[in-house]
Amino acid sequence: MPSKIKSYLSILRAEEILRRYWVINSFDGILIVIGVLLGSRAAGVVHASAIIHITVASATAMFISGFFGCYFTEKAERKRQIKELERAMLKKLDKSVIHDASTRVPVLIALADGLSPLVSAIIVILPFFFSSIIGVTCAFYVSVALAVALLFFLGCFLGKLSRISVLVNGLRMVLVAALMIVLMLLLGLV
Amino acid sequence: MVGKIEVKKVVLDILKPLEPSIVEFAKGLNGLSGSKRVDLLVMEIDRSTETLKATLEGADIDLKALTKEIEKMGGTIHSVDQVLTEKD
Repeated sequence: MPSKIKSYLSILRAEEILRRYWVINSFDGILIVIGVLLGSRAAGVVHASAIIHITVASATAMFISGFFGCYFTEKAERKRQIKELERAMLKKLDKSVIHDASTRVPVLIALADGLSPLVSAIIVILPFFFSSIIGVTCAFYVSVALAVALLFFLGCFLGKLSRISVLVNGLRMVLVAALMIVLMLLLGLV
Repeated sequence: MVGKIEVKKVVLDILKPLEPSIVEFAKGLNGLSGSKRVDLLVMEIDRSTETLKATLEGADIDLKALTKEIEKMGGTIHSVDQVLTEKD
């Protein structure tokens, strides 16, 4: 990470927020794609291009919603934070590095929030781009496996952060995906 | 002929937000031309601010640039408590 960005994040103590948004939204993105994949299969969608279109459209919507929702929220939070600080300092901080950080950090966090589900979704459906070679059914299984693997790594990452068992945390994430599939089965959606 | 008078040392009382940290703050002040040594001592700490006693030493400290740098990092000079000058 470039040192300037690192310094901005450190000034506003926003590294943790950035990480949190990235994980939460990657998780969202992966689960939504699993839902799209299972739902499409249950509905008899057999064309790879249809699955790619549905997933990319959903992921783009997640990007836009994540980016702007987060940007406006973070911008308001940073404004409040800087106003409190100005009150404590008894001076305006317009020309300070803190002001620069408070205008740039919301964009960074919003990008993390928006890009994380988009990136995860695209990784998960990558096999469908090669469906002419491996076939749609194989692409479907490889995609689900990729989604599960991503969830597992996401869990491992959280485990490493919280210094608890990496494996247990990875499996916990996978279990959530299994729970979602069971729920979809019970509701007759797949 | 009077030689050039150089500011060799200044002691300041500074109020600054908790971030950037005093390490970043010290590095910023030490990055100024003419500043050789920076010594920051936290005198008081509050919920979002801290008061520092800053001692700067160097060949010729530029007080204008110093004030600008402190303000750039969100700080403010409360008082100039000591100045040491030397003539060539």
